[in-house]
This record gives sequence, C-alpha cells and structure tokens, in this order.
Amino acid sequence: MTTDAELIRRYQQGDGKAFHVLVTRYQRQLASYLRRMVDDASAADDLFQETFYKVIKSLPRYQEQGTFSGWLFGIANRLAIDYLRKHKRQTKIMKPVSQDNSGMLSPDILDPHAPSPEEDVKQRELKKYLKKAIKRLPAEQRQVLLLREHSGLSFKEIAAMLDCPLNTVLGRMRYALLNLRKMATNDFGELDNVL
Amino acid sequence: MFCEKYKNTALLYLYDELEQDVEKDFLKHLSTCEKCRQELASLKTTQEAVRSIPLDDVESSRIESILNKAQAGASASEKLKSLMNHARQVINPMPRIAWIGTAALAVIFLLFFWHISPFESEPTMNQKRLLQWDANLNETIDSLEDEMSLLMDNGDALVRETIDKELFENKTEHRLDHVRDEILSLYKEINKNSF
Repeated sequence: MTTDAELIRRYQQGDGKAFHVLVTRYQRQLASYLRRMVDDASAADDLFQETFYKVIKSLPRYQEQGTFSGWLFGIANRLAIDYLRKHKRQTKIMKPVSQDNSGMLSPDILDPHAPSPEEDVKQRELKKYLKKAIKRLPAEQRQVLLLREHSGLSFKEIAAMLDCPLNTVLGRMRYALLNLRKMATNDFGELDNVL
Repeated sequence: MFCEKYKNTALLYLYDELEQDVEKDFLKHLSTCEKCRQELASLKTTQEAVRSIPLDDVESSRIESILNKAQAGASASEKLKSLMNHARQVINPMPRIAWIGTAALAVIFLLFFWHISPFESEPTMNQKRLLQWDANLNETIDSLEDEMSLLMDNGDALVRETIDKELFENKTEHRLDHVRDEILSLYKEINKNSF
C-alpha cells in the first residue's frame, strides 16, 4: 500500500488522484470521529468539509512532521472542540465514575463463541446503544476515546496533540471506558452477557 | 479496581503501547493479582464493545460534494489572497505613514505645479502617472469587488465564512468597502486639488 507520505508527495507534484486515495483512506474514520464528537450529523458534515478545506489549503506546503493521520485528526479535533465550545448544550453528561463503581467482571467473557440469532440481535442493539452512549460521555473523555479508536494515534501522540500529560490522557481514557461500561450496565444489562 | 501502580500500565498494555520491560513486569504482576486480572478483563470487554461499533458509512456522492465544496472554499481563499495581495500592492506600496506623507507632498507639489505650469491644458507626466494609477486602482477595486460578489453569490455558507475569515486572518484592517472608500476619498482629495 502506498504510504500517506508518498501520496502527499504525488499530490504536491500535481497528481489529484493521490489526494482522493488519501481522502478515501481516512474518510470513514474521520466522519465517524466527527459525528460521534459533535452529535449532530449535519454539523459533523460541515466540520468534515472544513477539515478537508484546511487540508487542501495547507497540503501544497505540507511538510511531514509526525503522521498525516495525526495532522488530519489534529485539525478535525480543533474544529470539533471549537464547535462544542460555541454550541454548549445541555446534554446529559455522565458524572465521571469513581474507581469504586467500576464493577467486577469475569475473565471468561473473553472467550469467543458464535452468537445465536437472539444474541446477534442483542449485540446489534448494544452497538447502537454504545454509539449513543459515547455521545453522552464528558467531552474530554469522548475526545480521547474517539481519537484513540479512529485516528490510529498512540496515547503519547494524542497527549502531544492535546498538549497535556500522558497520565491525564490515560486517565480520561480509563474513565471513558468505565463510564461506558457503567452506562451499558445500567441501561442495557451486563456487557459480559451480550458479547 | 487496579492496583494504583498499574492503572495506567494496564491501559497501555491493552492498547499494545507498553514497552517490553514494563510489559514483563506487568505480566508478572498479573499472574499474582486477581484484582488486576479482573479489571483488565473488564476494560478489554468494553474496548471490544467499542471496537465492534461499525464506522459510519458516508455516501460517496456526499463525500464528493463535501470535497468539492472544500475545494471551492480553498480556491476561493487562494483567489482572494492573491486579489488582496494585488490590492495591497496598489493600495499600500509603502508604509502607511510614508504613503500619507508622500500623498501630502504630492498634493503640495501638484498645487504648486498647477499654478506655474505653462501647459495647463495638457496633463503633466506626474498627473498622467496619477491618472493611470487612479484608473488601475479603480479597475483593481472593481475587479476585486466583482470577484468577491461572485464568490459570495455562488459560494455556500462555508465559502462566505472562509472569505470573512481570510480577510481577518490576513490582518486586513478594514473590510473591502471601507478600503475602497478610504482610498477613493484620498484620491478624490488629490485629484480635486490637482486637476
């Protein structure tokens, strides 16, 4: 597979198709990231457009420092945070869960098994549920969770992007996962029984 | 709940970001700590649940349209930048104070020249230059305004917002209509006194 750096170099030399390959490579992750960050499909589409507007504007002068993915998601992240600041809404935000409430799990749930049709339906419902639950996380936790899952950046890279200590990023991630688990357990039932 | 020492280590382990020697230590700890094993399993379940959520599908026609708009925004911005540079070259070829000083000197000079010139009916070289400059300036401002209104009329909200942003990002002190008024009034002043 052609690397991002190579595609950028080709685009800078006038190969428009290279840019389309680059976009195709990241469009779903980026769209998913933005839609889950701002919880408004139309606003997310605008931010997606603005992200690529900035990319198109800067790409001719782009010099690789870190990964393209990091740069791309850095732009998208700044836009999403700006959007959230401008559109502060009264969304139902989970109170961060304390470590005491994390619950106890059995490790045997890690064993893979083929789901029955009922289980399959339940799993699909869970996915839909979690998609919504992510949007209810506090913004800082949601941001780290989505960046880690969609951008392919490491925690260290995310910490550098957000200009905050690695431990803070890890803390947010941990609480994001704990909060999701708590929400799913409260509203949906035990994750262990579904997955 | 993880043992305090390993709460971040566990997360890094889960996301495969742990350095080898630290990983060894962590695995050793896991083999003796039931609490951490359970907590890790819990995190892993939630991580898997999050990863099982499919990425959002974005219709290719939608992507195409978004990219086209982004491209249009970027082109509009480039065009505007070059127009602004062009305008600035005409409007502000030297520092403002020097410009005003020169204009004032020109007025004095032209007033003086007007009264002593034996060829009153023919414009002098300086006058011709000013006339030409004036014509160029008007032409530039006209074309700038045409381009601007075209971009404003044809562009969508993003393009308009982009144009607004560009004007401010480029530290343009005034909006174009003000720039135009200001320059034209200065020119009228000079012309009134000299022609």
